[in-house]
Amino acid sequence: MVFSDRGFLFLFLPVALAVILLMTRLKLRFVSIIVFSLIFYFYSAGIVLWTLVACIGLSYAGGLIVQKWRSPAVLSLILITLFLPLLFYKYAFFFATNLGVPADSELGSFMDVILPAGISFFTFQAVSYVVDVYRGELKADTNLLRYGAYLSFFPQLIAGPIVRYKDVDEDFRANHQSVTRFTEGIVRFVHGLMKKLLIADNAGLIVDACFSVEGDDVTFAVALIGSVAYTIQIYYDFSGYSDMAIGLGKMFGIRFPENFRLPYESRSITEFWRRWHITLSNWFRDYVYISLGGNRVSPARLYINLLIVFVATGIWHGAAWTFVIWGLYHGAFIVIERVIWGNDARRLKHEYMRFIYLLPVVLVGWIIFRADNSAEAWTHISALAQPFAAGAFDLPNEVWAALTPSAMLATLFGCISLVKRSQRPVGVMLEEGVSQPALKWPVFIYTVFGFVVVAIASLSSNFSPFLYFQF
Amino acid sequence: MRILTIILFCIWLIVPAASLFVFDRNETIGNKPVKTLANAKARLLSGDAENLEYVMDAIFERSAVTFQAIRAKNALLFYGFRHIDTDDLVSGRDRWLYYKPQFMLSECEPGYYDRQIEVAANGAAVFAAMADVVGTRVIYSLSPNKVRVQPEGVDRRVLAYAGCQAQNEEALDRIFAEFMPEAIFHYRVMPKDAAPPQGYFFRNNTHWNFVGFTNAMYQLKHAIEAPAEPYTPPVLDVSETKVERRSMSTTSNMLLLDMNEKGPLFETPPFAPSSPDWPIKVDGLAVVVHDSFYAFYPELTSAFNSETKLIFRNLPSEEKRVISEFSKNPDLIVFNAVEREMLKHFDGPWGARGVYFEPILDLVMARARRECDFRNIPRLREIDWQGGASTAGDEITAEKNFPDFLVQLPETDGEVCLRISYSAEAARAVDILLPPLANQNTDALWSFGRFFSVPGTKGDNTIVLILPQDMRANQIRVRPQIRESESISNLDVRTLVLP
Repeated sequence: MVFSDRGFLFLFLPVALAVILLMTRLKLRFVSIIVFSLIFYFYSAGIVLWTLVACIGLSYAGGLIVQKWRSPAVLSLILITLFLPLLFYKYAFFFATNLGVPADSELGSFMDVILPAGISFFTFQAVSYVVDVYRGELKADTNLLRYGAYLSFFPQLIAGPIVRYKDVDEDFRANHQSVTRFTEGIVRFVHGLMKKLLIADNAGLIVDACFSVEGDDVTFAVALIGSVAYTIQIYYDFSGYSDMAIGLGKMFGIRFPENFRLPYESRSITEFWRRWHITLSNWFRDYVYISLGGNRVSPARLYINLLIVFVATGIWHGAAWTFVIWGLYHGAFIVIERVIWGNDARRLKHEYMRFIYLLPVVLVGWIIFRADNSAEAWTHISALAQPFAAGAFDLPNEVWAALTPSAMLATLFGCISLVKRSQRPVGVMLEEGVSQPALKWPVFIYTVFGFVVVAIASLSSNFSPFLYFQF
Repeated sequence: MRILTIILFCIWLIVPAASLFVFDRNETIGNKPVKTLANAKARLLSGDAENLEYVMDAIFERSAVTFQAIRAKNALLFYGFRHIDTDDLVSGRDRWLYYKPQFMLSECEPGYYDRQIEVAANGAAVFAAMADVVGTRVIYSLSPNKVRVQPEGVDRRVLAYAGCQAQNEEALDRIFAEFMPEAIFHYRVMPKDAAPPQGYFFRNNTHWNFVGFTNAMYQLKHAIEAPAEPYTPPVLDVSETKVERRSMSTTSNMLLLDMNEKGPLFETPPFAPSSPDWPIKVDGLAVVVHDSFYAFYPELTSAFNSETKLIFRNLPSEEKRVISEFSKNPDLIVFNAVEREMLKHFDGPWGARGVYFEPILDLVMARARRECDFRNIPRLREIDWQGGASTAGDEITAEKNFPDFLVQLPETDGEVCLRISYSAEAARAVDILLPPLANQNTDALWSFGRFFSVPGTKGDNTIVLILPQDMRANQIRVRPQIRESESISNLDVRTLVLP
């Protein structure tokens, strides 16, 4: 089940909202959240629902245990147990086949399983909770229902943001619902839906066509259009989902951290990772990078640590060599920036760096990320490097077919995010506009327009999964 | 404003589902029935995302709001962006709209469809040849895919779906010229240089206009009345001023958009009651099984006399009626389909292995039982099993699936009767593989799909047939559908020439 699915929007959500808000009045908030979240997860992952339930139980107990026995060995044991389902479902087949286990053997078939939706997200949240308790930054929650409601809370369950308990426990402990917060949630939710349905899905048509082209048909034009369209698609898809999650959270009185802050307006890769999937970057910073010694190590060790963090970030996205390469690729640029600019890499002075450096690097990175394998990635990247080759601007008919007027318009509109300069994300500004006299009516009109557009797009289209579900 | 936003949001959330209880529920979306709600509970309990999606589709497709949402989206794309690309339709150059299933021959590998086409052509040829045994003439007519007659709207976006359709249409023509030369291709009477300004097809419909329809009817008339003579198209006076305003069924059914388009008319209505051309002169009972192309103009009923049975094949309920009419041993059968459906039909219900062949086979066997007297005819002593079976006494055991044997037929210009009797361990049909038929332009003794099947039962079976006349070789192959190591016994094969 996804947020843009008509079943979610027009059946699950109204019932869930009505029941959970009513149950909150009856002091049954956590139970109702858990019930609806488990229903939501059941229709997203099926019988592997047990992975979520087990994760809740293990991390809840783990928090209480490490609070009582602050031992690295105990912590390690709990973390290993927490990571086991993720390692098995996501990585066992990849590692086994790379170690020579035939995919069609008994062992290979055993490990070739479908990844439970969102397992990377809720496992990381559970780990952050246990580690935070271990570090003394958080008191273990003794209320299993409250903790279960946090970890299973459906708005953030399967595609983030990766919400740490210490960021939201206040909202779970006390009911912070209000008309303003609810309205802000509606505005943000509808904004996210429009990003997904109008821009990401249309750009996705072009992306799929370009990346289905093979061999010599991959020209400079195919590679360029495909990579630019994917740059748009993945941003609007994922940030749109985050907007929806944040919006839904607010409707239930929970304030999630921001996950995107205009990433394509960065001027360096270092800055990009402070704006892209912020909650994931923060997780790796706080639980991997700092654990490896942080900044207080020798420069050589620092660079190695950075590469480790980015390889881990890459492989978090999926069990494939393309993700490993993508992580290394970003890690290499981070290291180079660190060598050249030191801490200044976080915000370079010159705007033009965004266009001559950041965007080209990110765009090539997305090719690696999107390609089915490294050979396909190389085909597209090498085509991108040959703008003056014969037939460089040829487009196969399949790509032409995808370049419909509506898909082109939507993608071009999405390209605004590549060139604009702004102070804050539009979603945040819209939320703030709810309480500002000068902006409240424009925000209202925009939201009502969104209702109409989303209803048309959602009711008239078939199933369209979010990109980040595969992670 | 905040309260108003919340109220509107709540209304927005519940309206699609609430409309199910307020407005009439859709039973169809355009021409497609909505998904069934049967097994909804089991689907929901499965926890499978696809099953959930199916049930949600089944619920929301019934909502009046969904209908309006689809219509609004299509209107925006069709009128606003002037380009549509759905599962069924794609816009081409100058707003020509193409129905995607017509690009059914899109693969580009040379020869990719050859066998499929050959099987279909032979299926039709065998049906016609066997029907001829009982005095029924069978005509297959093909309404053209729009892209074959009006390719001017094919741009690169359409080509992405059309693929190598044009290349494969040439293969189709070539293979039909070899195996089913009597098939009538209506596109041949719609030449570009004689087209009216509006062409032969509507831009926004998958069907032809009145000029296309009329040309096809004249071609069919000629094929029925004077098949041996060369066809000269009549001179028809397409009006420069008169036009019809036709409601476009394609946009209405597939995009939920009601629109009209102008189509050409004639100065003198060709199907007027005073016209000497119509109805087509048919001796005896005629049955015309047709699709929406012939049905597109009511003048079809003027083209045939009132005794002719016109059966719209798109209605599944008509299948029994077709079988019933065929059982009456009609003098003429016309099968008409659009090209995109032809392979499916010819290798299916309209061919020699389809459900409509059953009454024809029954008639052939009934005639054979009446007229073929095998009492003094000796059995064939030597049966050549082509290496697929071993014989022990009266028992023949298959050494591979579907072994076959050759039967040498008597040299004659007349009709040949064939009787095969045998005992079988299980109910297995027997295939009769024919050599080149009278009108086929091929020297190859055997060909894919040139056979028909006679049902068998467990125990004793006797097949009595009259074979098509003027076959171009005096050999057939008989192939009991027995599996490896299965046996048949008491095989007895006899042939005779009808006096």
